[in-house]
Amino acid sequence: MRQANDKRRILLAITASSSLPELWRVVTENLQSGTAELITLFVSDDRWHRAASLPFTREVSRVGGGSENFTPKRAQQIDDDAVGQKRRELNDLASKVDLKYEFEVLPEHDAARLQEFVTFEQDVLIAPSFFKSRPIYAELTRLKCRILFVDGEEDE
Amino acid sequence: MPALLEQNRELVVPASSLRRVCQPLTLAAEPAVPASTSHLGQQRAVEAIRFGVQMERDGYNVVVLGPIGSHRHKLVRELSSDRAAEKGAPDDWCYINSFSDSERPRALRLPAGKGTEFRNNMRSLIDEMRLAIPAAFEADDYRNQLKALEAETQKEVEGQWRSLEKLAGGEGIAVLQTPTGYVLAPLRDGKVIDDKEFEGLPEDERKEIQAAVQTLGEELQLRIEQMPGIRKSHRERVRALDQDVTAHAVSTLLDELKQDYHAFHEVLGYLDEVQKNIIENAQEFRRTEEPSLPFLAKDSSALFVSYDVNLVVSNEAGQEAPVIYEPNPSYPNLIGKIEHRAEMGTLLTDFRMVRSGALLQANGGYLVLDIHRVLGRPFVWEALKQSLFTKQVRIESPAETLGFASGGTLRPEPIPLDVKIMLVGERWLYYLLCAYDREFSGLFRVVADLDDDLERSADNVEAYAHLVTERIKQCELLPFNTAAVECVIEQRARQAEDSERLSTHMRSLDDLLIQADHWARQRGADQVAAEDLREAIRQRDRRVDRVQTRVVDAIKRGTLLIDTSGESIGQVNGLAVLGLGESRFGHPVRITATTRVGTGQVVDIEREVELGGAIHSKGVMILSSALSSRFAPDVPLSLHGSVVFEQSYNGVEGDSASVAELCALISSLSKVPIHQNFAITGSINQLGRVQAVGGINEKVEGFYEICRERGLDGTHGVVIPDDNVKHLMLREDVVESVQKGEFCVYAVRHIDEAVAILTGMTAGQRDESGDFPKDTVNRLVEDQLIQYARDRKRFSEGQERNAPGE
Repeated sequence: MRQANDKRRILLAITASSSLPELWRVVTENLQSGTAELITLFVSDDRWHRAASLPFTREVSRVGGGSENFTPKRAQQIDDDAVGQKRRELNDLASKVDLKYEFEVLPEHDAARLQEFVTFEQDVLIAPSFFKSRPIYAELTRLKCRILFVDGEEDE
Repeated sequence: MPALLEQNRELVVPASSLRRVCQPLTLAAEPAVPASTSHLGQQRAVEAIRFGVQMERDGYNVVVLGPIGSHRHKLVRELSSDRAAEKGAPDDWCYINSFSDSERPRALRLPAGKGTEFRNNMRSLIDEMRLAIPAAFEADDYRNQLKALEAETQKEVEGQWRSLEKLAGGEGIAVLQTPTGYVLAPLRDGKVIDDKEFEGLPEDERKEIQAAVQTLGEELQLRIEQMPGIRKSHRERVRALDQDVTAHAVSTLLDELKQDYHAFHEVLGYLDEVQKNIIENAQEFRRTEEPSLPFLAKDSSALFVSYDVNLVVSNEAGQEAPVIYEPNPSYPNLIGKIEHRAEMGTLLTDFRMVRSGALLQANGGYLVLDIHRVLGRPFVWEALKQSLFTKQVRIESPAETLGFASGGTLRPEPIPLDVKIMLVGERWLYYLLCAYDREFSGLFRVVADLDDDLERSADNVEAYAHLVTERIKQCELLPFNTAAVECVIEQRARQAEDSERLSTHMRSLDDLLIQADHWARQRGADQVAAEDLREAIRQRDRRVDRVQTRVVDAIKRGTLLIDTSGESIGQVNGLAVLGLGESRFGHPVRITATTRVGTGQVVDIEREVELGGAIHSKGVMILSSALSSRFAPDVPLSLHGSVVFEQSYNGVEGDSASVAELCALISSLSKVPIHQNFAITGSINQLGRVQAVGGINEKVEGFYEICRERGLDGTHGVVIPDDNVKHLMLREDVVESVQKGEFCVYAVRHIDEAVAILTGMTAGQRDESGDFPKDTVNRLVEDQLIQYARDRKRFSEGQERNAPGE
């Protein structure tokens, strides 16, 4: 349980398809306004896992249009790769400004856990505006903190 | 003077004929014969070279023949330059990139001076393009147009997906993106359903979902297949935009250049190609993405190098035609070469690395080459002939020429060749080429044969004196007084081995003058005197006389057996000349002969042991014939004679000892001894006529040296052919000895005269009855030969009687 004198938190919510530079710019701006700890929440897209559980779904290649069965293993691989990729990108960004951060993976179906990370009204959650169209948005609206949606390039 | 000398007084060569001194010189301001340091005595060669350089026809290349040091290059350069001044500067040549085939660079011809200008203009253009083209791509106008194109394409792509998503949404299907593709997943209440939810659906619905996914999957594939087409279309539109921007950026720059070269159609055509190529490759100039590996990064200038100009022949307007001497006519230096640069372990080249050789540098003018250097370097002679035959220079590696090149390389366009080759070399090489290369005489139709010497006429001596003066000035030497110049003239006659001619060998003249100057400076003089010339000669001889000294020493100490007094039967002092590098000296050599009854054969021992050359053997055969024709012509020659150079362990060549050998044989047959205080040289013909030989001065001096060492007593002398008297230019000390009566030179025309001098006994002429008088050498010889014939006959008859049989 966080204490009253704990640092406020900056929460950065991202997905596999989030473009980080603009989000990171907003993060660093908010960090300049006072001491805070940074937590990055990687919201994993459970739609892949759900789709992969179906026996007839196929992944159609973007190059050439060939298709293969879309299996749970493949969905997990995509998830892992996406997490790894985003961590590397964040590490690069953070090392440039000598910033430490925590990294959490939050399955989208478990979005209720978001409440655990937010305690103070001074906390800030920064998320791509894309989240507004996702199921997680319902959970976001329940948070008692400032939420900043950032317009940016999203593949979806 | 001994009695024997008195008998042959008419054969004595007067001291005045032993060395033709130079008449006192009066150096006029201008000589009767115009003197040029390179032309004196070379009128024939000068006319030939002038003819060659003026003859503007194929095959009239010139071969200039003369020994090294004859200033043949200087002569060729002077005469070629005279003609070159009339011809004017030839055109410039450039190699430019061939945009249609970069392995075949194109040759571009421009008037003299224009090549440099064109290259500089193209480089300026490149510099300007380097700024202007990227600037055009940086401009807002371009960026806005590019963004508009991208937005248009993006809109088209998004439109494709939106319509698919809309279509899918209508079917309750979501289109999910993975990092590498798309997945179609059924939705319920906006959420992707999982397998459990799916299993909970009615079968009909499940089938409908699966069918919808199947159909949409096919549609998805169809749209994916359309994506490359959309992207290609986008790229083409961007490319067209890039080309428009580039064309606008370069057209102004190129139009200015085209104005400057409006009279040169080839240049205009090339500039059009440059413009087209730049526009076609417009995107290369705006490429900004980093290479995947740092070492693959291209220098930005690399994009522009294909528009550079490789100026391979550069002249300047108003200049003369080139006269070039290539001292090292290797294949690359003569024909040209294609250089390479190493890049990541690979050798690369392009049109900028084509280098011209001397043939192209001299194109339109004159190229001077040394025959021996051309022949001594691999592939050069054939390549030179090929260029002259085809009248063009094809720059390629020798391996390419021979068909051995395996890797790709450039094949530059051949350049037309119009050059006059001036081959300079020694005569023997010319004769070999004439004999063994049938193409040679067709390509080199003019021969300029430099004379080794010139007539010592009064006019020529005067001109020669001026030549000496000119050389003194050119070599920046101390002034020579008149006596010194006279001494030079005499020395040049000695150099020519002829008192009536003067050597035209210029390097040896320069050497003499420079060394005399050195000795004059050594003694602190401000003028070179005759004594400095003598010192220079003495010192030069001294520097190279090690072997001569050893030979003289060996004779003095009795190791080499040479008698200079007394008399011997069948033994005579011959004279030989030894040439070792710069050293050339004469020395006596003992020749002996033995005779006995035999079958008419004179054995040349040198020949038998393969130490004698062909000419020496010929001499021995001639003397053998002379012997048989002169004596006892009515009886078979029943002699077995042998002659040999005693203590000679090297080869013997030449026929200059044939008189000596015949005298030794005559002495052996007649048993009349030969006085050893004489030495003799000369060749003989079948009729007993004594003929001239070479190295006469060295031979006389060689025997004089030995006699001087042992003490001159007035009896010593040398017998030479009368025809050699004109060649005598003996050392001054030898002449002085003769004047004092210490030494003597005899000149003979016939073997009888030589025999008389050597034996002190009359040789004898046949009388009216056809017999030689009694108490003459010839009578004794003939009697002995008749006796040999009788002995042989008697021996043959005895053998027949003793033979078994009938």
